[in-house]
Amino acid sequence: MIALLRTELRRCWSRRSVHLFGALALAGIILAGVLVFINSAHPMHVCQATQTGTHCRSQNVFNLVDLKQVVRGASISLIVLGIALAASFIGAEWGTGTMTTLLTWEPRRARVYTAKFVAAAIFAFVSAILVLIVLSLALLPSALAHGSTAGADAPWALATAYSILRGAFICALGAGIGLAIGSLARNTTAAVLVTFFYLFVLENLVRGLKPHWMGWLFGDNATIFVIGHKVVAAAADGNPIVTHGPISALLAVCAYTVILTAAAVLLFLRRDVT
Amino acid sequence: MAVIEIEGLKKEYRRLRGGSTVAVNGLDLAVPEGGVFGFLGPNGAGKTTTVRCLLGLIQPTSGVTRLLGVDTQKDLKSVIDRVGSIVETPSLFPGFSGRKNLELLGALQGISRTRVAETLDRVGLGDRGNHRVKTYSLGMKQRLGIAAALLKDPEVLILDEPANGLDPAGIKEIRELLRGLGRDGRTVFVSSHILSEVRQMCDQVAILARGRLIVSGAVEDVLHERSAGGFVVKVPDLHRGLEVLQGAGMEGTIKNGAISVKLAADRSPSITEVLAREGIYLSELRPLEADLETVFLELTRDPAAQGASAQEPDVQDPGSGGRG
Repeated sequence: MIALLRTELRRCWSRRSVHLFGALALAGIILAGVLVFINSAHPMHVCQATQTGTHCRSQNVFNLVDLKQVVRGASISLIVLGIALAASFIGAEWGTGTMTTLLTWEPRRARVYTAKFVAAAIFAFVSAILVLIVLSLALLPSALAHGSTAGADAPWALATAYSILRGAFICALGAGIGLAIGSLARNTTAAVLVTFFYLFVLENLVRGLKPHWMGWLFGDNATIFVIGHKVVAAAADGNPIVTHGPISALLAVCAYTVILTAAAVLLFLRRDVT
Repeated sequence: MAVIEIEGLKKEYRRLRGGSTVAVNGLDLAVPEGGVFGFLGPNGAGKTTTVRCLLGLIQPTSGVTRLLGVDTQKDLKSVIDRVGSIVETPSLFPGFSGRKNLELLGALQGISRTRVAETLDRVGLGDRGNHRVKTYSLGMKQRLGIAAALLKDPEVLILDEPANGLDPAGIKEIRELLRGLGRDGRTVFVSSHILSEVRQMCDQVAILARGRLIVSGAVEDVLHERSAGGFVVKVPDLHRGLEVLQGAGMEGTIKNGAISVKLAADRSPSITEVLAREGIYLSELRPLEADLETVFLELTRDPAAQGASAQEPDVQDPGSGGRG
Protein backbone atom coordinates (compact mmCIF):
# COMPACT_ATOMS: atom_id res chain seq x y z
CA MET A 1 0.00 0.00 0.00
CA ILE A 2 2.84 2.38 0.89
CA ALA A 3 4.58 1.61 -2.43
CA LEU A 4 1.33 2.23 -4.28
CA LEU A 5 0.76 5.50 -2.43
CA ARG A 6 4.34 6.62 -3.05
CA THR A 7 3.94 5.85 -6.75
CA GLU A 8 0.69 7.80 -6.94
CA LEU A 9 2.28 10.77 -5.19
CA ARG A 10 5.23 10.68 -7.59
CA ARG A 11 2.83 10.55 -10.49
CA CYS A 12 0.84 13.49 -9.09
CA TRP A 13 4.00 15.54 -8.77
CA SER A 14 5.23 14.57 -12.26
CA ARG A 15 2.07 15.62 -14.09
CA ARG A 16 2.46 18.43 -16.59
CA SER A 17 -0.90 19.97 -15.65
CA VAL A 18 0.36 20.24 -12.05
CA HIS A 19 3.57 21.93 -13.23
CA LEU A 20 1.54 24.26 -15.45
CA PHE A 21 -0.93 25.25 -12.75
CA GLY A 22 1.93 25.58 -10.25
CA ALA A 23 3.78 27.93 -12.59
CA LEU A 24 0.61 29.93 -13.27
CA ALA A 25 -0.17 30.19 -9.57
CA LEU A 26 3.37 31.37 -8.82
CA ALA A 27 3.26 33.91 -11.64
CA GLY A 28 -0.16 35.15 -10.44
CA ILE A 29 1.05 35.47 -6.85
CA ILE A 30 4.18 37.40 -7.88
CA LEU A 31 2.09 39.69 -10.09
CA ALA A 32 -0.41 40.25 -7.27
CA GLY A 33 2.42 40.99 -4.83
CA VAL A 34 4.01 43.51 -7.20
CA LEU A 35 0.68 45.23 -8.00
CA VAL A 36 -0.31 45.50 -4.33
CA PHE A 37 3.17 46.85 -3.53
CA ILE A 38 2.93 49.53 -6.27
CA ASN A 39 -0.60 50.51 -5.27
CA SER A 40 0.35 50.69 -1.60
CA ALA A 41 3.16 53.11 -2.46
CA HIS A 42 0.63 55.57 -3.92
CA PRO A 43 -2.39 55.45 -1.62
CA MET A 44 -5.55 57.41 -2.38
CA HIS A 45 -6.94 59.45 0.48
CA VAL A 46 -10.72 59.43 0.52
CA CYS A 47 -12.56 61.83 2.82
CA GLN A 48 -16.22 61.59 3.67
CA ALA A 49 -18.30 64.18 5.49
CA THR A 50 -20.56 62.73 8.19
CA GLN A 51 -22.67 64.16 11.01
CA THR A 52 -19.74 63.74 13.37
CA GLY A 53 -17.27 65.46 11.04
CA THR A 54 -15.09 64.60 8.11
CA HIS A 55 -13.44 61.22 8.15
CA CYS A 56 -10.50 60.47 5.89
CA ARG A 57 -8.95 57.06 5.13
CA SER A 58 -6.30 55.75 2.80
CA GLN A 59 -7.40 53.38 0.07
CA ASN A 60 -5.14 50.78 -1.65
CA VAL A 61 -3.05 50.41 1.47
CA PHE A 62 -2.46 46.80 2.42
CA ASN A 63 -2.82 46.12 6.11
CA LEU A 64 -1.45 42.82 7.30
CA VAL A 65 -4.64 42.03 9.25
CA ASP A 66 -6.46 41.85 5.90
CA LEU A 67 -4.37 38.81 4.97
CA LYS A 68 -6.97 36.55 6.58
CA GLN A 69 -9.59 37.70 4.06
CA VAL A 70 -7.13 37.25 1.19
CA VAL A 71 -6.38 33.71 2.34
CA ARG A 72 -10.10 32.88 2.55
CA GLY A 73 -10.77 34.21 -0.93
CA ALA A 74 -7.80 32.34 -2.41
CA SER A 75 -8.81 29.11 -0.63
CA ILE A 76 -12.20 29.13 -2.32
CA SER A 77 -10.54 29.42 -5.76
CA LEU A 78 -8.14 26.63 -4.82
CA ILE A 79 -11.03 24.27 -4.03
CA VAL A 80 -12.23 24.52 -7.63
CA LEU A 81 -8.67 23.98 -8.88
CA GLY A 82 -8.29 20.97 -6.56
CA ILE A 83 -11.47 19.38 -7.93
CA ALA A 84 -10.39 19.95 -11.55
CA LEU A 85 -6.84 18.63 -11.04
CA ALA A 86 -7.99 15.52 -9.19
CA ALA A 87 -10.60 14.81 -11.85
CA SER A 88 -7.90 15.09 -14.51
CA PHE A 89 -5.54 12.95 -12.38
CA ILE A 90 -7.80 9.89 -12.70
CA GLY A 91 -9.54 10.92 -15.93
CA ALA A 92 -6.17 10.90 -17.73
CA GLU A 93 -5.60 7.33 -16.54
CA TRP A 94 -8.85 6.20 -18.10
CA GLY A 95 -8.21 8.28 -21.20
CA THR A 96 -4.75 6.89 -21.88
CA GLY A 97 -5.64 3.36 -20.77
CA THR A 98 -2.96 3.31 -18.08
CA MET A 99 -5.56 2.16 -15.57
CA THR A 100 -5.52 -1.19 -17.41
CA THR A 101 -1.74 -1.36 -17.09
CA LEU A 102 -1.89 -0.43 -13.39
CA LEU A 103 -4.53 -3.08 -12.65
CA THR A 104 -2.34 -5.75 -14.22
CA TRP A 105 0.24 -4.86 -11.55
CA GLU A 106 -2.12 -4.29 -8.61
CA PRO A 107 -5.46 -6.04 -9.17
CA ARG A 108 -6.92 -5.08 -5.77
CA ARG A 109 -9.08 -2.23 -6.96
CA ALA A 110 -10.09 -0.99 -3.51
CA ARG A 111 -6.40 -0.47 -2.71
CA VAL A 112 -5.80 1.26 -6.01
CA TYR A 113 -8.67 3.69 -5.40
CA THR A 114 -7.66 4.29 -1.79
CA ALA A 115 -4.08 5.08 -2.83
CA LYS A 116 -5.31 7.50 -5.47
CA PHE A 117 -7.70 9.17 -3.04
CA VAL A 118 -5.07 9.58 -0.33
CA ALA A 119 -2.44 10.76 -2.84
CA ALA A 120 -4.81 13.34 -4.37
CA ALA A 121 -5.90 14.56 -0.92
CA ILE A 122 -2.33 14.83 0.44
CA PHE A 123 -1.17 16.53 -2.73
CA ALA A 124 -4.06 19.05 -2.67
CA PHE A 125 -3.58 19.73 1.05
CA VAL A 126 0.17 20.35 0.82
CA SER A 127 -0.11 22.33 -2.43
CA ALA A 128 -2.84 24.56 -1.01
CA ILE A 129 -0.77 25.30 2.11
CA LEU A 130 2.28 26.12 -0.04
CA VAL A 131 0.28 28.39 -2.35
CA LEU A 132 -1.34 30.24 0.56
CA ILE A 133 1.99 30.66 2.38
CA VAL A 134 3.69 31.95 -0.78
CA LEU A 135 0.75 34.32 -1.32
CA SER A 136 1.09 35.61 2.26
CA LEU A 137 4.83 36.11 1.81
CA ALA A 138 4.26 37.93 -1.47
CA LEU A 139 1.92 40.43 0.24
CA LEU A 140 4.10 40.92 3.30
CA PRO A 141 6.47 43.53 1.75
CA SER A 142 3.49 45.78 0.91
CA ALA A 143 2.30 45.74 4.51
CA LEU A 144 5.79 46.24 5.90
CA ALA A 145 6.86 49.00 3.49
CA HIS A 146 3.71 51.02 2.87
CA GLY A 147 0.84 49.55 4.84
CA SER A 148 0.33 48.65 8.41
CA THR A 149 0.98 45.69 10.65
CA ALA A 150 -1.29 47.02 13.36
CA GLY A 151 -3.42 44.28 14.86
CA ALA A 152 -1.17 41.54 13.49
CA ASP A 153 -0.64 39.98 16.88
CA ALA A 154 -0.33 36.37 18.00
CA PRO A 155 -4.11 35.66 18.03
CA TRP A 156 -4.32 37.08 14.51
CA ALA A 157 -1.41 34.90 13.35
CA LEU A 158 -3.10 31.85 14.86
CA ALA A 159 -6.44 32.73 13.23
CA THR A 160 -4.71 33.20 9.86
CA ALA A 161 -2.89 29.88 10.23
CA TYR A 162 -6.23 28.21 11.00
CA SER A 163 -7.71 29.83 7.90
CA ILE A 164 -4.86 28.40 5.80
CA LEU A 165 -5.36 24.95 7.33
CA ARG A 166 -9.13 25.08 6.85
CA GLY A 167 -8.66 26.16 3.22
CA ALA A 168 -6.16 23.36 2.61
CA PHE A 169 -8.42 20.79 4.28
CA ILE A 170 -11.39 21.76 2.12
CA CYS A 171 -9.08 21.61 -0.90
CA ALA A 172 -8.18 18.03 0.05
CA LEU A 173 -11.87 17.11 0.32
CA GLY A 174 -12.45 18.85 -3.02
CA ALA A 175 -9.71 16.69 -4.54
CA GLY A 176 -11.55 13.62 -3.23
CA ILE A 177 -14.73 14.83 -4.89
CA GLY A 178 -12.88 15.57 -8.15
CA LEU A 179 -11.35 12.09 -8.07
CA ALA A 180 -14.77 10.51 -7.57
CA ILE A 181 -16.32 12.48 -10.44
CA GLY A 182 -13.34 11.69 -12.70
CA SER A 183 -13.62 8.00 -11.81
CA LEU A 184 -17.37 7.89 -12.42
CA ALA A 185 -17.03 9.71 -15.77
CA ARG A 186 -13.79 7.89 -16.74
CA ASN A 187 -12.91 11.01 -18.68
CA THR A 188 -11.26 14.31 -17.68
CA THR A 189 -13.25 16.61 -19.93
CA ALA A 190 -16.61 15.15 -18.91
CA ALA A 191 -15.65 15.31 -15.23
CA VAL A 192 -14.48 18.93 -15.42
CA LEU A 193 -17.57 19.98 -17.38
CA VAL A 194 -19.89 18.28 -14.89
CA THR A 195 -18.07 19.95 -11.98
CA PHE A 196 -18.19 23.41 -13.51
CA PHE A 197 -21.84 23.00 -14.54
CA TYR A 198 -22.76 21.98 -11.01
CA LEU A 199 -20.74 24.67 -9.23
CA PHE A 200 -21.36 27.61 -11.51
CA VAL A 201 -24.74 26.89 -13.07
CA LEU A 202 -26.77 24.50 -10.95
CA GLU A 203 -25.79 25.91 -7.55
CA ASN A 204 -26.45 29.47 -8.76
CA LEU A 205 -29.84 28.42 -10.08
CA VAL A 206 -30.68 26.87 -6.72
CA ARG A 207 -29.48 29.99 -4.89
CA GLY A 208 -31.74 32.09 -7.09
CA LEU A 209 -34.80 29.85 -7.15
CA LYS A 210 -34.65 28.14 -3.78
CA PRO A 211 -32.56 30.35 -1.48
CA HIS A 212 -33.52 28.33 1.59
CA TRP A 213 -31.65 25.35 0.14
CA MET A 214 -28.39 27.30 0.23
CA GLY A 215 -27.39 25.59 3.43
CA TRP A 216 -27.14 22.27 1.59
CA LEU A 217 -25.05 23.37 -1.37
CA PHE A 218 -21.43 22.25 -1.64
CA GLY A 219 -20.06 25.68 -2.57
CA ASP A 220 -21.79 27.52 0.28
CA ASN A 221 -20.75 24.95 2.89
CA ALA A 222 -17.15 24.95 1.66
CA THR A 223 -17.10 28.77 1.87
CA ILE A 224 -18.62 28.79 5.36
CA PHE A 225 -16.03 26.33 6.63
CA VAL A 226 -13.19 28.36 5.13
CA ILE A 227 -14.41 31.70 6.52
CA GLY A 228 -15.17 30.05 9.85
CA HIS A 229 -18.54 31.54 10.72
CA LYS A 230 -22.22 31.54 9.76
CA VAL A 231 -23.44 33.72 6.92
CA VAL A 232 -26.64 35.69 7.02
CA ALA A 233 -28.10 36.42 3.62
CA ALA A 234 -31.29 38.23 2.66
CA ALA A 235 -33.84 36.21 0.73
CA ALA A 236 -36.10 37.72 -1.92
CA ASP A 237 -39.01 37.79 0.55
CA GLY A 238 -36.91 39.88 2.90
CA ASN A 239 -36.48 37.13 5.51
CA PRO A 240 -32.91 36.49 6.55
CA ILE A 241 -31.31 33.15 5.63
CA VAL A 242 -28.90 31.95 8.25
CA THR A 243 -26.59 29.24 7.00
CA HIS A 244 -24.99 26.40 8.95
CA GLY A 245 -22.12 26.99 11.30
CA PRO A 246 -18.58 25.91 10.25
CA ILE A 247 -18.79 22.46 11.86
CA SER A 248 -22.12 21.63 10.18
CA ALA A 249 -20.72 23.03 6.93
CA LEU A 250 -17.71 20.74 7.23
CA LEU A 251 -19.98 17.76 7.85
CA ALA A 252 -22.02 18.68 4.78
CA VAL A 253 -18.85 18.85 2.60
CA CYS A 254 -17.69 15.53 4.12
CA ALA A 255 -21.09 14.03 3.26
CA TYR A 256 -20.69 15.13 -0.38
CA THR A 257 -17.21 13.58 -0.43
CA VAL A 258 -18.29 10.32 1.20
CA ILE A 259 -21.36 9.82 -1.00
CA LEU A 260 -19.50 10.52 -4.25
CA THR A 261 -16.51 8.44 -3.18
CA ALA A 262 -18.71 5.50 -2.20
CA ALA A 263 -20.44 5.63 -5.59
CA ALA A 264 -17.10 5.84 -7.40
CA VAL A 265 -15.58 2.95 -5.42
CA LEU A 266 -18.61 0.71 -5.93
CA LEU A 267 -18.55 1.31 -9.65
CA PHE A 268 -14.77 0.93 -9.82
CA LEU A 269 -14.97 -2.44 -8.06
CA ARG A 270 -17.74 -3.81 -10.26
CA ARG A 271 -17.36 -2.27 -13.67
CA ASP A 272 -15.37 -4.01 -16.39
CA VAL A 273 -12.15 -2.36 -17.49
CA THR A 274 -12.44 -2.42 -21.25
CA MET B 1 0.64 -28.85 -15.48
CA ALA B 2 -1.44 -26.23 -17.29
CA VAL B 3 -0.25 -22.72 -16.49
CA ILE B 4 -3.35 -21.10 -17.95
CA GLU B 5 -6.67 -22.92 -17.62
CA ILE B 6 -9.96 -21.69 -18.90
CA GLU B 7 -13.14 -23.67 -18.33
CA GLY B 8 -16.51 -22.82 -19.82
CA LEU B 9 -15.67 -19.12 -20.06
CA LYS B 10 -18.60 -17.01 -21.18
CA LYS B 11 -18.78 -13.25 -21.42
CA GLU B 12 -21.98 -11.60 -22.46
CA TYR B 13 -22.31 -7.84 -22.85
CA ARG B 14 -25.79 -6.45 -22.38
CA ARG B 15 -26.72 -3.66 -24.73
CA LEU B 16 -28.48 -0.55 -23.46
CA ARG B 17 -31.26 -0.91 -26.00
CA GLY B 18 -31.88 -4.53 -25.05
CA GLY B 19 -30.35 -7.74 -26.28
CA SER B 20 -26.80 -8.81 -25.72
CA THR B 21 -23.55 -9.65 -27.45
CA VAL B 22 -21.73 -12.83 -26.57
CA ALA B 23 -18.00 -12.14 -26.86
CA VAL B 24 -16.82 -15.49 -25.52
CA ASN B 25 -19.07 -18.50 -25.46
CA GLY B 26 -18.09 -21.52 -23.41
CA LEU B 27 -14.35 -21.39 -24.06
CA ASP B 28 -12.20 -24.21 -22.72
CA LEU B 29 -8.44 -23.89 -23.02
CA ALA B 30 -5.36 -25.27 -21.31
CA VAL B 31 -1.92 -23.75 -21.91
CA PRO B 32 0.94 -26.03 -20.83
CA GLU B 33 3.97 -24.83 -18.94
CA GLY B 34 6.91 -23.55 -20.98
CA GLY B 35 7.13 -22.55 -24.61
CA VAL B 36 5.27 -20.08 -26.74
CA PHE B 37 1.52 -20.54 -27.16
CA GLY B 38 -0.26 -18.75 -30.01
CA PHE B 39 -3.83 -17.59 -29.53
CA LEU B 40 -5.32 -16.91 -32.94
CA GLY B 41 -8.64 -15.59 -34.06
CA PRO B 42 -10.18 -13.02 -36.37
CA ASN B 43 -11.26 -9.61 -35.10
CA GLY B 44 -14.13 -9.95 -32.67
CA ALA B 45 -13.40 -13.62 -31.97
CA GLY B 46 -13.04 -12.91 -28.25
CA LYS B 47 -9.25 -13.01 -27.84
CA THR B 48 -8.90 -9.73 -25.95
CA THR B 49 -11.99 -10.43 -23.85
CA THR B 50 -10.44 -13.76 -22.85
CA VAL B 51 -7.15 -12.06 -21.95
CA ARG B 52 -9.00 -9.40 -19.93
CA CYS B 53 -10.95 -12.09 -18.06
CA LEU B 54 -7.70 -13.90 -17.30
CA LEU B 55 -6.19 -10.72 -15.86
CA GLY B 56 -9.23 -9.85 -13.76
CA LEU B 57 -10.08 -6.76 -15.79
CA ILE B 58 -13.44 -8.17 -16.83
CA GLN B 59 -15.87 -10.20 -14.76
CA PRO B 60 -16.94 -13.25 -16.79
CA THR B 61 -20.64 -14.03 -17.05
CA SER B 62 -19.76 -17.64 -16.18
CA GLY B 63 -16.82 -19.99 -16.21
CA VAL B 64 -13.48 -20.22 -14.48
CA THR B 65 -10.08 -18.75 -15.41
CA ARG B 66 -6.95 -19.95 -13.65
CA LEU B 67 -3.41 -18.62 -13.81
CA LEU B 68 -0.68 -20.75 -12.25
CA GLY B 69 -3.40 -22.81 -10.58
CA VAL B 70 -5.14 -19.83 -8.97
CA ASP B 71 -8.69 -18.74 -9.78
CA THR B 72 -8.10 -15.24 -11.14
CA GLN B 73 -11.57 -14.06 -10.21
CA LYS B 74 -10.88 -14.85 -6.56
CA ASP B 75 -7.18 -14.51 -5.80
CA LEU B 76 -5.35 -12.92 -8.70
CA LYS B 77 -3.14 -10.94 -6.31
CA SER B 78 -1.33 -14.05 -5.15
CA VAL B 79 0.03 -14.72 -8.66
CA ILE B 80 0.05 -11.32 -10.38
CA ASP B 81 3.71 -10.76 -9.44
CA ARG B 82 4.60 -13.80 -11.58
CA VAL B 83 2.65 -12.65 -14.62
CA GLY B 84 3.67 -9.97 -17.13
CA SER B 85 1.16 -8.73 -19.66
CA ILE B 86 0.21 -6.35 -22.42
CA VAL B 87 -3.48 -5.91 -23.13
CA GLU B 88 -4.13 -4.53 -26.63
CA THR B 89 -1.99 -1.45 -27.28
CA PRO B 90 0.47 -0.87 -24.43
CA SER B 91 -0.93 1.97 -22.34
CA LEU B 92 1.62 4.14 -20.61
CA PHE B 93 1.70 7.83 -19.73
CA PRO B 94 2.52 9.75 -22.92
CA GLY B 95 3.87 12.77 -21.07
CA PHE B 96 6.42 10.74 -19.08
CA SER B 97 9.59 9.20 -20.44
CA GLY B 98 9.73 5.47 -21.09
CA ARG B 99 12.13 5.10 -18.18
CA LYS B 100 9.87 7.04 -15.79
CA ASN B 101 6.87 4.94 -16.81
CA LEU B 102 8.77 1.75 -16.03
CA GLU B 103 10.17 3.17 -12.79
CA LEU B 104 6.66 4.08 -11.61
CA LEU B 105 5.41 0.56 -12.35
CA GLY B 106 8.53 -1.06 -10.93
CA ALA B 107 8.19 0.93 -7.70
CA LEU B 108 4.98 -1.02 -7.01
CA GLN B 109 7.08 -4.14 -6.52
CA GLY B 110 10.34 -2.64 -5.39
CA ILE B 111 12.04 -3.19 -8.74
CA SER B 112 15.35 -1.33 -8.94
CA ARG B 113 16.32 1.34 -11.46
CA THR B 114 19.13 -0.94 -12.62
CA ARG B 115 16.58 -3.58 -13.56
CA VAL B 116 14.56 -0.91 -15.42
CA ALA B 117 17.68 0.10 -17.38
CA GLU B 118 18.48 -3.55 -18.18
CA THR B 119 14.94 -4.17 -19.41
CA LEU B 120 15.03 -1.07 -21.62
CA ASP B 121 18.30 -2.31 -23.12
CA ARG B 122 16.83 -5.76 -23.63
CA VAL B 123 14.05 -4.41 -25.85
CA GLY B 124 16.36 -2.00 -27.67
CA LEU B 125 15.16 1.21 -26.01
CA GLY B 126 18.23 1.91 -23.92
CA ASP B 127 19.12 5.07 -25.82
CA ARG B 128 15.53 6.39 -26.03
CA GLY B 129 14.53 5.62 -22.45
CA ASN B 130 14.66 9.26 -21.38
CA HIS B 131 12.46 10.51 -24.22
CA ARG B 132 8.77 11.12 -23.72
CA VAL B 133 6.54 8.23 -24.73
CA LYS B 134 4.46 10.50 -26.96
CA THR B 135 7.51 10.94 -29.20
CA TYR B 136 7.81 7.16 -29.68
CA SER B 137 6.73 5.39 -32.84
CA LEU B 138 4.10 2.64 -32.57
CA GLY B 139 6.85 0.04 -32.68
CA MET B 140 8.76 1.74 -29.87
CA LYS B 141 5.61 1.92 -27.75
CA GLN B 142 5.16 -1.78 -28.40
CA ARG B 143 8.72 -2.46 -27.24
CA LEU B 144 8.11 -0.37 -24.14
CA GLY B 145 4.96 -2.38 -23.44
CA ILE B 146 6.98 -5.58 -23.75
CA ALA B 147 9.60 -4.07 -21.43
CA ALA B 148 6.85 -3.33 -18.89
CA ALA B 149 5.67 -6.93 -19.15
CA LEU B 150 9.22 -8.25 -18.73
CA LEU B 151 10.07 -5.95 -15.83
CA LYS B 152 8.79 -8.40 -13.20
CA ASP B 153 10.88 -11.19 -14.72
CA PRO B 154 7.62 -13.16 -14.96
CA GLU B 155 7.02 -16.90 -15.26
CA VAL B 156 4.06 -16.26 -17.52
CA LEU B 157 3.84 -13.60 -20.22
CA ILE B 158 0.46 -12.72 -21.70
CA LEU B 159 0.94 -10.55 -24.78
CA ASP B 160 -1.78 -9.20 -27.01
CA GLU B 161 -0.41 -8.56 -30.53
CA PRO B 162 3.21 -7.96 -29.43
CA ALA B 163 4.47 -7.52 -33.01
CA ASN B 164 1.90 -4.85 -33.84
CA GLY B 165 3.58 -1.81 -35.42
CA LEU B 166 7.07 -3.27 -35.41
CA ASP B 167 9.26 -3.14 -38.51
CA PRO B 168 10.61 -6.45 -39.91
CA ALA B 169 13.85 -6.14 -37.92
CA GLY B 170 11.86 -5.38 -34.77
CA ILE B 171 9.53 -8.33 -35.39
CA LYS B 172 12.53 -10.61 -35.75
CA GLU B 173 14.10 -9.28 -32.54
CA ILE B 174 10.89 -9.66 -30.54
CA ARG B 175 10.29 -13.11 -32.03
CA GLU B 176 13.74 -14.22 -30.94
CA LEU B 177 13.28 -12.64 -27.53
CA LEU B 178 9.96 -14.43 -26.97
CA ARG B 179 11.26 -17.73 -28.32
CA GLY B 180 14.24 -17.40 -25.99
CA LEU B 181 11.91 -16.80 -23.05
CA GLY B 182 9.90 -19.87 -24.08
CA ARG B 183 13.09 -21.95 -24.31
CA ASP B 184 14.08 -20.76 -20.81
CA GLY B 185 10.99 -22.52 -19.48
CA ARG B 186 8.70 -19.51 -19.26
CA THR B 187 5.21 -19.66 -20.68
CA VAL B 188 4.55 -17.04 -23.33
CA PHE B 189 0.91 -16.68 -24.35
CA VAL B 190 0.71 -14.61 -27.52
CA SER B 191 -2.45 -13.39 -29.15
CA SER B 192 -1.71 -12.47 -32.73
CA HIS B 193 -3.18 -12.15 -36.17
CA ILE B 194 0.20 -12.35 -37.94
CA LEU B 195 -0.01 -16.01 -38.90
CA SER B 196 3.50 -16.31 -40.27
CA GLU B 197 4.80 -15.03 -36.94
CA VAL B 198 2.77 -17.54 -35.00
CA ARG B 199 4.07 -20.34 -37.21
CA GLN B 200 7.68 -19.25 -36.66
CA MET B 201 7.36 -18.38 -33.00
CA CYS B 202 4.86 -20.72 -31.39
CA ASP B 203 5.10 -24.31 -30.28
CA GLN B 204 1.38 -24.65 -29.69
CA VAL B 205 -1.61 -22.84 -31.08
CA ALA B 206 -5.29 -22.37 -30.32
CA ILE B 207 -7.69 -20.96 -32.88
CA LEU B 208 -10.74 -19.08 -31.69
CA ALA B 209 -13.78 -18.05 -33.71
CA ARG B 210 -17.06 -16.47 -32.64
CA GLY B 211 -16.09 -16.88 -28.99
CA ARG B 212 -15.43 -20.60 -29.23
CA LEU B 213 -12.29 -22.68 -29.43
CA ILE B 214 -12.07 -24.31 -32.85
CA VAL B 215 -8.81 -26.20 -32.56
CA SER B 216 -5.85 -26.42 -30.21
CA GLY B 217 -2.57 -28.28 -30.19
CA ALA B 218 1.00 -28.30 -31.48
CA VAL B 219 1.30 -26.15 -34.61
CA GLU B 220 2.58 -29.04 -36.73
CA ASP B 221 -0.23 -31.32 -35.52
CA VAL B 222 -2.87 -28.73 -36.33
CA LEU B 223 -1.43 -28.30 -39.83
CA HIS B 224 -0.99 -32.02 -40.37
CA GLU B 225 -4.56 -32.82 -39.33
CA ARG B 226 -5.87 -30.25 -41.76
CA SER B 227 -3.73 -31.34 -44.66
CA ALA B 228 -5.82 -32.97 -47.42
CA GLY B 229 -2.90 -35.11 -48.64
CA GLY B 230 -1.42 -34.65 -52.07
CA PHE B 231 1.44 -33.13 -54.04
CA VAL B 232 2.48 -29.96 -55.81
CA VAL B 233 3.73 -30.80 -59.29
CA LYS B 234 5.57 -28.38 -61.58
CA VAL B 235 6.13 -29.22 -65.24
CA PRO B 236 6.87 -26.98 -68.26
CA ASP B 237 3.37 -27.43 -69.74
CA LEU B 238 0.89 -27.43 -66.87
CA HIS B 239 -2.21 -28.13 -68.98
CA ARG B 240 -0.62 -31.08 -70.77
CA GLY B 241 0.69 -32.40 -67.43
CA LEU B 242 -2.76 -32.15 -65.83
CA GLU B 243 -4.32 -33.91 -68.80
CA VAL B 244 -1.87 -36.80 -68.45
CA LEU B 245 -2.36 -37.11 -64.70
CA GLN B 246 -6.15 -37.00 -65.03
CA GLY B 247 -5.88 -39.58 -67.79
CA ALA B 248 -4.15 -41.83 -65.26
CA GLY B 249 -7.08 -41.44 -62.86
CA MET B 250 -5.56 -38.82 -60.59
CA GLU B 251 -7.54 -35.86 -59.33
CA GLY B 252 -5.86 -32.47 -59.81
CA THR B 253 -6.20 -28.76 -60.49
CA ILE B 254 -3.92 -25.99 -61.72
CA LYS B 255 -3.30 -23.45 -59.01
CA ASN B 256 -0.66 -20.76 -58.56
CA GLY B 257 1.58 -21.93 -61.37
CA ALA B 258 1.57 -25.59 -60.37
CA ILE B 259 -0.60 -28.69 -60.44
CA SER B 260 -2.15 -29.74 -57.13
CA VAL B 261 -2.71 -33.47 -57.16
CA LYS B 262 -4.75 -35.27 -54.50
CA LEU B 263 -2.96 -38.50 -53.86
CA ALA B 264 -1.90 -40.68 -50.94
CA ALA B 265 1.55 -39.85 -49.59
CA ASP B 266 3.09 -43.22 -50.61
CA ARG B 267 2.02 -42.87 -54.25
CA SER B 268 4.40 -40.10 -55.37
CA PRO B 269 6.39 -42.47 -57.64
CA SER B 270 3.28 -43.01 -59.75
CA ILE B 271 3.27 -39.27 -60.62
CA THR B 272 6.83 -39.37 -61.96
CA GLU B 273 6.15 -42.62 -63.77
CA VAL B 274 2.97 -41.42 -65.53
CA LEU B 275 4.51 -38.12 -66.58
CA ALA B 276 7.83 -39.64 -67.70
CA ARG B 277 6.00 -42.16 -69.82
CA GLU B 278 4.52 -39.25 -71.79
CA GLY B 279 7.88 -37.46 -72.03
CA ILE B 280 7.02 -34.80 -69.46
CA TYR B 281 9.80 -34.11 -66.98
CA LEU B 282 9.28 -32.67 -63.52
CA SER B 283 10.82 -29.43 -62.38
CA GLU B 284 9.33 -29.79 -58.87
CA LEU B 285 7.49 -32.40 -56.83
CA ARG B 286 6.72 -31.90 -53.15
CA PRO B 287 4.01 -32.77 -50.66
CA LEU B 288 1.04 -30.45 -50.54
CA GLU B 289 0.86 -28.96 -47.03
CA ALA B 290 -1.82 -26.96 -45.39
CA ASP B 291 -0.41 -23.61 -44.26
CA LEU B 292 -1.55 -21.87 -41.13
CA GLU B 293 -3.27 -19.09 -43.03
CA THR B 294 -5.42 -21.52 -44.98
CA VAL B 295 -6.24 -23.53 -41.89
CA PHE B 296 -7.05 -20.35 -40.01
CA LEU B 297 -9.31 -19.01 -42.76
CA GLU B 298 -11.01 -22.33 -43.18
CA LEU B 299 -11.64 -22.79 -39.46
CA THR B 300 -12.75 -19.28 -38.74
CA ARG B 301 -14.92 -18.85 -41.81
CA ASP B 302 -18.51 -17.91 -41.09
CA PRO B 303 -20.67 -21.07 -41.35
CA ALA B 304 -23.02 -19.40 -43.84
CA ALA B 305 -20.12 -18.34 -46.04
CA GLN B 306 -18.57 -21.78 -45.63
CA GLY B 307 -21.65 -23.39 -47.14
CA ALA B 308 -21.58 -21.02 -50.10
CA SER B 309 -17.95 -21.74 -50.88
CA ALA B 310 -17.93 -25.45 -50.14
CA GLN B 311 -16.57 -26.19 -53.58
CA GLU B 312 -13.31 -24.31 -52.99
CA PRO B 313 -10.26 -26.42 -52.28
CA ASP B 314 -9.35 -26.36 -48.61
CA VAL B 315 -5.60 -26.69 -48.96
CA GLN B 316 -3.14 -24.53 -50.70
CA ASP B 317 0.39 -24.51 -51.96
CA PRO B 318 2.38 -22.89 -49.14
CA GLY B 319 4.82 -21.41 -51.57
CA SER B 320 2.20 -19.55 -53.53
CA GLY B 321 2.18 -16.48 -51.28
CA GLY B 322 -1.59 -16.12 -51.27
CA ARG B 323 -4.89 -17.75 -51.86
CA GLY B 324 -5.61 -18.95 -55.34
